[in-house]
Amino acid sequence: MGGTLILAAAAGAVAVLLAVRLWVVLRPRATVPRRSLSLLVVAGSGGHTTEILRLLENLSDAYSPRHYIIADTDEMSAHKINSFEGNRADRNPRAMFTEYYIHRIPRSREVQQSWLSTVLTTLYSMWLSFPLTHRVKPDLVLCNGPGTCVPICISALLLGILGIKKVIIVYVESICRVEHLSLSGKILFHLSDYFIVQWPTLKEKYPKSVYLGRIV
Amino acid sequence: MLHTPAPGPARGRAVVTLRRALPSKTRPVLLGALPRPCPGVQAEAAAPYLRLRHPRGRRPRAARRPPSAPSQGRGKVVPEPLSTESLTLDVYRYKDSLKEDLPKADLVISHAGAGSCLESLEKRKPLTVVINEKLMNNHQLELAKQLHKDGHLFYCTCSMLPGLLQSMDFSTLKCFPPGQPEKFSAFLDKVVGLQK
Repeated sequence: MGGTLILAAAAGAVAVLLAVRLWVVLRPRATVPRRSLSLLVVAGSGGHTTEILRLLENLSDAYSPRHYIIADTDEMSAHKINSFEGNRADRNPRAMFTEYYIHRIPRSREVQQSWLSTVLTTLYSMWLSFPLTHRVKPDLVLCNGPGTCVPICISALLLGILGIKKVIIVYVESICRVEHLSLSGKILFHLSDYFIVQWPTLKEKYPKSVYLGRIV
Repeated sequence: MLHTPAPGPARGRAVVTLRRALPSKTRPVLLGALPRPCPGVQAEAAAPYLRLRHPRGRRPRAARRPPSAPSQGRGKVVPEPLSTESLTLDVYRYKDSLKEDLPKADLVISHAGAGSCLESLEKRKPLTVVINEKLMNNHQLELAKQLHKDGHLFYCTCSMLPGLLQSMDFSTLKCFPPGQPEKFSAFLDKVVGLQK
């Protein structure tokens, strides 16, 4: 009986500690001035990749190195990223070489996959996401809603909770979402530092989001 | 200004994008509707380019195919390419971009996919989106409906398409302003504290 009580108390203490750490990590804080920062981009798949590359087009070279995460079965995204980085290097011959890396993790959910097995594959990709995020230790995570971005953002958050590194998480909801957030969006609305929407209807529904107009 | 086809007897060119989610009846309707003259495609005969997009999905079971038929990848139904006096139909599978075909198009008929819609509008092409009634609450439709509300495109269901092709007036469509990724980069520079 006593043992159970102690166990429960310990679990409670850990939960409170985690909650406090989560609050500390997500609390707005003064920005640290910096000259460059490493970027982790969750490209995911298909249309998401195209959209996020359009966002990256205007970013300066200070966002370097750039790490891309794609679904392991997604050759199209790898191809798009390589040609995007190639074009970028051609436009800017001053940069001696462009530093970018492509990492692959399994999809959280294939189209038409059942919900039960989705839970399992998400846990599995969570298991793989944390070591990857820990290795990269990015300053900034940028994503726009592929399923893969949830485990990555949670891993990035964990880095903060464990006191390893505060990672800024920026979520840009896809242009396709006019009135309703995607599932990833609903989850990450509470966990991201900046949540950007692209339609005024969503800004009205979620006043805490950032609306900059159409940015892709 | 939207691109308007030059008057004259030239054959018009339509780019059509489909996806498996469209009901299979769309294809016959499209093929029936396009060769007729319509204001968007200023020709007795349009030469639609049918871009067939087959999203990830289950392969048809081998048993359903005659053993001699070549594998058709992931898609289920693939129209045969054909060429007659009134119609040239060119069929291809998924391409990652419409880049090559869009500049030549006088009209784009598309499914409600965001990529195809935005790409066509940016190229200032008159766009008609055919929506699948079965997907009424699908998020794919949110964007098409909003863009229609803002006057950038026409949209209809499959059975309404032949009528719409006859009656639509592209001059009523509004120009689609380009997105502003520079606002995003300015915002990001500020919040991460980037020093120039």
